[in-house]
Amino acid sequence: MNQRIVYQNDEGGISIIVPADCGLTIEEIAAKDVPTGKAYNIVDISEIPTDRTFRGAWTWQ
Amino acid sequence: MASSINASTSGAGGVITTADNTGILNIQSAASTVLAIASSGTTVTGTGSYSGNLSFNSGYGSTAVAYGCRAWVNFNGTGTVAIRGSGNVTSITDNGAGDYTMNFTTAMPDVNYAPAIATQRNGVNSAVWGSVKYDSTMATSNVRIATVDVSPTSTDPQGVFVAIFR
Repeated sequence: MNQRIVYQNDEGGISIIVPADCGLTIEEIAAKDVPTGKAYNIVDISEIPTDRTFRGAWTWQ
Repeated sequence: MASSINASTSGAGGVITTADNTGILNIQSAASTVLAIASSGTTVTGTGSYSGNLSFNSGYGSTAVAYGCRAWVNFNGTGTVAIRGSGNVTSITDNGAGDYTMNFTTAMPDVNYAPAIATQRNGVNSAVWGSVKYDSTMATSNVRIATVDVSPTSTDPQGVFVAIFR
């Protein structure tokens, strides 16, 4: 699945959900695994940086 | 050929039996064999469900109850984080460097399960350990995993492997 789910976590950073090949749609996975009440975005994998050197400084707008 | 007992769904329905002298018995549903019994062993085809404890020997030395892996995942933590293989997992959450949440498809019955965690080092002079994140709470629906180097600093390993036993 070439999509990711992005949301702001409670520690000030962003969390990125990586879906498994489990038979659920990305929307179903978002509904299940995003913490209750959190706003999220479904994005293409190409929008996620691959250089994780400063992973803790990532932000989402 | 084999003798068979078929729970038929066609024609008049009901149980249809056929017989031969091969010594093999097939238990069938709608003419498809789901259990084959022979002197050489028993074969179950398709999904099996057993509500009792599963016991077997298989080199253990005696027949004893076996405890299954209830969820597992293999993913890479570097570059584009991605799941290579999994079972009973809907996703992992990348919370930051060396900080991941494993999300179960079917929840554990309680939080007293045992995660087994391993990592793949990123090079000959590196070391990475995995553990349940020290300040997290194990939940029935997920568990949070931390990976650190010798410093200890949170580090992304090129492989993270988690199996949940309960």
